[in-house]
Amino acid sequence: MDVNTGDLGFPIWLRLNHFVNLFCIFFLMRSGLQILADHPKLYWNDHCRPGSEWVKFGKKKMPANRLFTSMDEAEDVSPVFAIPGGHHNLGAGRNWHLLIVTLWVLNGLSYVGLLFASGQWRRLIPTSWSIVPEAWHSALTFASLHTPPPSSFHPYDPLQQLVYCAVVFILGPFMIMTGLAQSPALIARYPWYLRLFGGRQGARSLHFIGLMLMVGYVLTHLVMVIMVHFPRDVDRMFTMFSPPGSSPAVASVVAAAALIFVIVCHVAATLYTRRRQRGFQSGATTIVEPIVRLLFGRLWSYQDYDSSAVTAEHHVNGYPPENADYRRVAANGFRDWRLRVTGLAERPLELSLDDLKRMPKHAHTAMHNCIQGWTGIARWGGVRVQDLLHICRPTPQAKWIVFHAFVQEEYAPEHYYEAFRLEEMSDPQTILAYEMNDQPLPFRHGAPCRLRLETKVGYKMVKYVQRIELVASLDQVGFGHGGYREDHQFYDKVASI
Amino acid sequence: MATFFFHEETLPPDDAGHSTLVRYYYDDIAAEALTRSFRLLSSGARMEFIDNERIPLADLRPDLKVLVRDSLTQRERSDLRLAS
Repeated sequence: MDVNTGDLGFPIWLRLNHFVNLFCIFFLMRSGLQILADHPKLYWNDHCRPGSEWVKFGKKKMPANRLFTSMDEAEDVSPVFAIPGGHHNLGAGRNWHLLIVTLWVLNGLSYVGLLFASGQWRRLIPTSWSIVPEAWHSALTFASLHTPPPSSFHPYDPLQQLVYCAVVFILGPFMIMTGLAQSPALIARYPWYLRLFGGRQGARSLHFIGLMLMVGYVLTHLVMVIMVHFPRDVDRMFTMFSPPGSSPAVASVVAAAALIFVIVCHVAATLYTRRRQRGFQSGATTIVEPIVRLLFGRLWSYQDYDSSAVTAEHHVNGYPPENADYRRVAANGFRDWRLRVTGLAERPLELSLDDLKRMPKHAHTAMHNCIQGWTGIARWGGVRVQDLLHICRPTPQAKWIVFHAFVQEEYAPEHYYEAFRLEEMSDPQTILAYEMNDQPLPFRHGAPCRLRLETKVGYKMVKYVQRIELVASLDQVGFGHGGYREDHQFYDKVASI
Repeated sequence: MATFFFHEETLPPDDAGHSTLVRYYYDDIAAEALTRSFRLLSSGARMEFIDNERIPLADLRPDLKVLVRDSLTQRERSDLRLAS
């Protein structure tokens, strides 16, 4: 055991970091479960072929003889376990996750920074290999339902020190790294990053396994705090503004109050999110969206997977339109379909599918990242949106570009639409795709053409495109929040993670 | 065919004078109705989404059940016509 830790004590910043971590960790777990429930299957392959999952939660059985979408596979989840709970409350779950993870990472960085700045790192990082046999001895002691004597704690027992060190310096960063791998923007710009985890689904599975380890750690930690030399550790961590040991009774009261505070926060946050979904969306995205734009907003896609990587059975969301308008143009191979570019353009356009095909064609093989968690790889061919914009010439007032789809029955009488900042169209791999895997775009994937913007999650990539509109403000688009999903399901509008 | 729109109705104004528009959809995989509610704002044609709910078919109002059944029949015929 390394005994050169001296009397490091438990400084106030360490106790505050510990409390903020306690506050964050349960929010992260509950919001993570909400996200998982929307596609409660985990894979080790990026094709997500039905049946290839290594673990599946929920009881839903999907029909084998008809088209179903991944939205149909989403499971309800209890608000006791998830925030906000319920059916397909993915937008709020994501906003909670991104909001709290920001606080958690800042708290973690300040904790690690202060550990090294103050010399407190010696309480966590072993400086002698002798800790390994000592930790093993300690593990055997605990396994025999005995407790090492207080003299073994300097301030931690060797096993405790190793576990804390692993959680702070391995599990925490591991969760951040696998979490970052969920960003389509990051993995589109740096496809090699995914190889560290065996692919996007590998990263997602490892993130889940990390969550299980974190849950196991938290439960064990709580049990050990109570079982081993109670209330010593409570006293150390919750004697907030006095030296530890000066007022054990007060420390116990503060610890109980802290736990009650966290529970009350969870109950209040869950109720508020369910009852004031728009208010929560507005508040959370005000904080989250600038951070996501800062981290991922300027990343362009550099993907070009090998053709052997193409997914055979690509998942889909959104059913093809069934109405007369769509059927009429579909019936003759979309010869009468016209793409209209309207709004704040010097030269409004009306283009046929042949007109689009006469423009320079660009193709790339890229990974589709659904917001629910599944992925697929396909080759997409079409015309760059940037080329269309060069022809129609947006006026200086145009700030947003909106893609409007045909009416689909699941959204009727409205239609699906999504808006983007005009500069987001600069990515060379942002195309209006009319081909998938070198064939005309299939109905279920958005025929006659769909948007491909490889740095965003799938809900931003409008299918069955009928019209493109240039506008000055989001107030002119639907309910003004950035798109159909933002308006109706409280998603964020940046969608880069 | 899975989730499709089959009915909408406007509820009387609340104390604040806002009416609520409720749109009904039917999910024929889950055999549930899905409602989407919107607050109709007094400032003209604008409205704001409130929330959605799922209602098992058994709990659906009898008149809405009839509408679901009619819609299903109509859509089935339409599919048959297309297939022929």
